[in-house]
Amino acid sequence: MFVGAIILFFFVSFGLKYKANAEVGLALTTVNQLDRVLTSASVSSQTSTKITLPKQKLIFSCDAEACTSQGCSSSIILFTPNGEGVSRDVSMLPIFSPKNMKGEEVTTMTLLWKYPFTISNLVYLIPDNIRIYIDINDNDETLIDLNKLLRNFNISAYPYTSNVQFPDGIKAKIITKDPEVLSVTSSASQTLRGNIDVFVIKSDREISTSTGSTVFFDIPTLLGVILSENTDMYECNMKKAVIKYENVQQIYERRVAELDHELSRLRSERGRGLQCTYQYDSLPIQSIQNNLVDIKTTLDSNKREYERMNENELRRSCPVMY
Amino acid sequence: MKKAQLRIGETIITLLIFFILLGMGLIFYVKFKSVSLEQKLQDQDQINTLNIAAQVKFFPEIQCTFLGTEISDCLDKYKIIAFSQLVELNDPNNRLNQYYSSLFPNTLVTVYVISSGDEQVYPLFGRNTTAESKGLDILSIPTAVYDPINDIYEFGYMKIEVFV
Repeated sequence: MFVGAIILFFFVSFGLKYKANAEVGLALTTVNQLDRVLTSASVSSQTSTKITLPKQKLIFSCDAEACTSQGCSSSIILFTPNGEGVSRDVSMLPIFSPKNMKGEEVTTMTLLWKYPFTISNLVYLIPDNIRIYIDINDNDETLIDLNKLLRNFNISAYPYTSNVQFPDGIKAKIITKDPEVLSVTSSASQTLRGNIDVFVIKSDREISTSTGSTVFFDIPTLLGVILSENTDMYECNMKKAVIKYENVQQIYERRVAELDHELSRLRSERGRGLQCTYQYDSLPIQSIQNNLVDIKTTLDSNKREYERMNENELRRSCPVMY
Repeated sequence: MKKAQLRIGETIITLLIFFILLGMGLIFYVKFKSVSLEQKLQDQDQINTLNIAAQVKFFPEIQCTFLGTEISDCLDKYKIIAFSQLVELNDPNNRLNQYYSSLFPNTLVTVYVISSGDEQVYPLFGRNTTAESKGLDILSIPTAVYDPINDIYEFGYMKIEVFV
């Protein structure tokens, strides 16, 4: 009997260990698959595809306080039924998505972020239960462009009116310029209140949400604010993109210096040649220390400078910066 | 007494045979698992190398652009030169090298440009250390390299070495 008990114990413990390992293995495979989807989404811009997320709990994390020159501390964590987590590092890829997801149908969308040169692809995860309402009553250019962009990707954006009915089980995101719309959330029924987010666009690309105020740079980043869990997650993912901006800016400015040097050498060698000046006055970005408002001010100033220089050099038939 | 001893002996022998068979089964299973795992790891390494190649090829840092629009299958010669100058290989404190090396660990990416019969080598990023690596996956991708000063396209290739 004693020997039988030992044998039984051996098989039971082996079975349990095997089950736990199999669960971790399955979670690892799923995270790898998701990572591959995100990687391919990140290299092919202006695309969208539909995926079904695993049944297990999936968490996207991003900590803006833990950003270094190598990105921000950010990962995708998939939990096994035992509560064990398998994570994948996404510290350099900007992903705008809800924080928690589970077995949902999700549209992955990728947009190129240019400011003014190409910086990075921005990846968006849009669960099917999210419904975007756009208040285009006042013919605002930003809102019309956002509407067009979503339509191009076959993502339904609904017109917002004051008497709109929100279906059950959806998470409504209302984008407007009218602060009065905020009263919708307070007047909505108790069951809907937590499921309505109102985004009010203010002057100079400032946007206020239920989780705070932030800034956006253009339409792709506005979509980032709308689809992120909260402003902290948005700003953290934007920091990843700005860290990449610093790298690209450094390389492009060095390229311009190299072009200038080589053209001057050729001019002095041949006694004639292209008269390119490559004059600009850019500012360095301290992406890690600065907040997004300061970063936007610097990026806007640099954008104007680079655009002006590009136009000047194009007029002179010189190689352009970007 | 003798019968009982005989029965105990039988049980012990049965158990012994059972455990020997179990042990053999386990050894066979572990061997089979480790072989399939090794194969899986090899496949994973190859997929990883292809992933790196796809990502590097679409880097805006080196891709040809005109007024902000990307030109596919083309690398800009002066972006490659600038990238290569800024990233000092084997300098662990270099910001750009740190960024790209942590994006693609154990990877060395080099661009070769064939210009008027000469081969120019531009190491982009990575650490050239092979001491602790067990193997090497190499992938070379041919590409056009645009020279914006002379407005010509040259032949080049990007070599991706992944240390596993």
